Amino acid sequence: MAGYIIQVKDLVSKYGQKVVHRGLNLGIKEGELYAIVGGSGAGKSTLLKTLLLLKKADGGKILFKGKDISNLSEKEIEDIKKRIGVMFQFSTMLSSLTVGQNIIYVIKKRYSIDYKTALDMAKLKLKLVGLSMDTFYMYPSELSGGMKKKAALAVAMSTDPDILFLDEPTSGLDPISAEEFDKLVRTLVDTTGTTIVQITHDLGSLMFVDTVAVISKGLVVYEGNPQDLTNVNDDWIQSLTNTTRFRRLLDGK
Amino acid sequence: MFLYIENNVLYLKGYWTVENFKDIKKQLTDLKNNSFDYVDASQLEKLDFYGGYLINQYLKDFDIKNIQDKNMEILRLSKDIPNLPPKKSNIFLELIEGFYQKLTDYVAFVSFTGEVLINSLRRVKDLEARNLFKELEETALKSLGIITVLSFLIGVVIAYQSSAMLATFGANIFIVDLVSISLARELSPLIVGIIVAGRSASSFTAEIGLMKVSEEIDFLKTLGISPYSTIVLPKLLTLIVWLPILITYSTILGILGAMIVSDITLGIPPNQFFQRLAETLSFDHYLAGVVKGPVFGIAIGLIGVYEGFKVQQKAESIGFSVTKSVVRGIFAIILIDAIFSVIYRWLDI
Repeated sequence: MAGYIIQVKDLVSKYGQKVVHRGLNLGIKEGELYAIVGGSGAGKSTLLKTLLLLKKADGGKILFKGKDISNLSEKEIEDIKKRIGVMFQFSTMLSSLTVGQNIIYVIKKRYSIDYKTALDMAKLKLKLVGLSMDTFYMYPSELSGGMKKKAALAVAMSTDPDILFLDEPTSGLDPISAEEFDKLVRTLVDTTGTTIVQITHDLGSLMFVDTVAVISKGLVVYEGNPQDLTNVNDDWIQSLTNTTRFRRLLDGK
Repeated sequence: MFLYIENNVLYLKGYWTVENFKDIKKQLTDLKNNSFDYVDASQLEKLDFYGGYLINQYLKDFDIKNIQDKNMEILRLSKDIPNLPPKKSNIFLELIEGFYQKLTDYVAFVSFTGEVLINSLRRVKDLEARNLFKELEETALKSLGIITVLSFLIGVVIAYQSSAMLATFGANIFIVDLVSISLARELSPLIVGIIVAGRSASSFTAEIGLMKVSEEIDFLKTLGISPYSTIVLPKLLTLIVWLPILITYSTILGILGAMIVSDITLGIPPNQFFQRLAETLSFDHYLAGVVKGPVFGIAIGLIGVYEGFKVQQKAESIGFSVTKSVVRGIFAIILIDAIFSVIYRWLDI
């Protein structure tokens, strides 16, 4: 049975006097596709920042592969950061570089790997996310929304991270492209064994994940199979599962 | 140790991942002189694309036995590296393409100018006084500070640099001619033009570019409001009216700077300076400089606005357009100034 890659225990996050998380707990297992959902202002973005080690926790523990990150040295933290990949909401890449150059840049900067290997890796990663080799020479501004998401995914996966965070990966995509992207993410988890965590608003994406965590009022109110969401006794989850869109998705209509 | 040979079998072990890439590569390179029959991957704990890539590069001719299913999948995915399509690099074609693009861009600019003029005049009722005041504040008043300092300093520098030479020939009083005519006819219009091109053309492009990205331009059009009359016209009118005023202001400050330096270095008192100034600086000289103002204003305004409207629906393109508008604005100012010089020469002004 796979162990936990990340465990969050009694996390407290604050912005000044405002408390965002009040003892939040969750556990992400190695090799699973995990989704974090919640209403606007529930604290999803703050949680993402904390998990990306961009924001320090104000209380509680974050364990990365069983190690409490608050006890680690700066060097160890940097090593952990190298094992984390992220695709931001707006598919952020360096706009002055082509997609291929973006991938090569990340590989060389993170691991000082020779150019030939980095170039071959860039080609493999583009193939992996289903982009044509023409994309290698294209700048991010020249890509359509769906292509840009895939290119950003290729950049995020360029150094084979242990865990990959996708922030609102299907936002701005049409339903067909969104489903195509969801399927791609599912395939990547199944084939490469990478742990992928999605922060999402897209109910459609939930149908592809192994585990969903619902954040409400600064706590994880549900963590488990998305199919069982309907049985959970929580106001926000009830509101979510009573939406027509969710019902239709669940019924496969 | 990521590999070892035992009984003619090469055993792979541990984590064949990106962190260990260099060490594994070195051990594989050192393996060249050893022989073995096949590869056993039963001790391979983790394989990623980098490890798979190395196996495919160095051990492709050998059977890989006892490999776990998950590692086999990675090995398969990292196997066939696609080829990149040939890069288009015909310099001759690129030059022609570049020239063609520039040409179409200039044609588009001329067409845009016509469109702005026709639309603005047709829908002049859309022009709002508050937009005019806003532009006056943003474009004109906020550039006063830098123009004050620069104009004064340029007057000081010209007078200071020339005073030594003029004193050698005993032609001290001609400093007034030199400074006043050069400032009124050439330098002040040029300084003001370049400063306004740098400040206003870029801000016009950024403002309109952002409005385009956020679909404000389309919003105005759907309301039946001409964006040319509401956004472009106030900017052009402000520049047309305000630039001659700024040129006059700049000339006065430059002369003031020169007057102070003349008094200190050449011993020409202000009253004598003014007396000579009245004799030298005719209204024609002043007019020759000030008339450039509206032309510069139209050029700066149109370039800034044109580049703003050219911004695509992507935020990244705003930066490119802003740079272009500043470069093109300054280029246009110098070009127009040169054309004025030729025309004045022909007309003997």
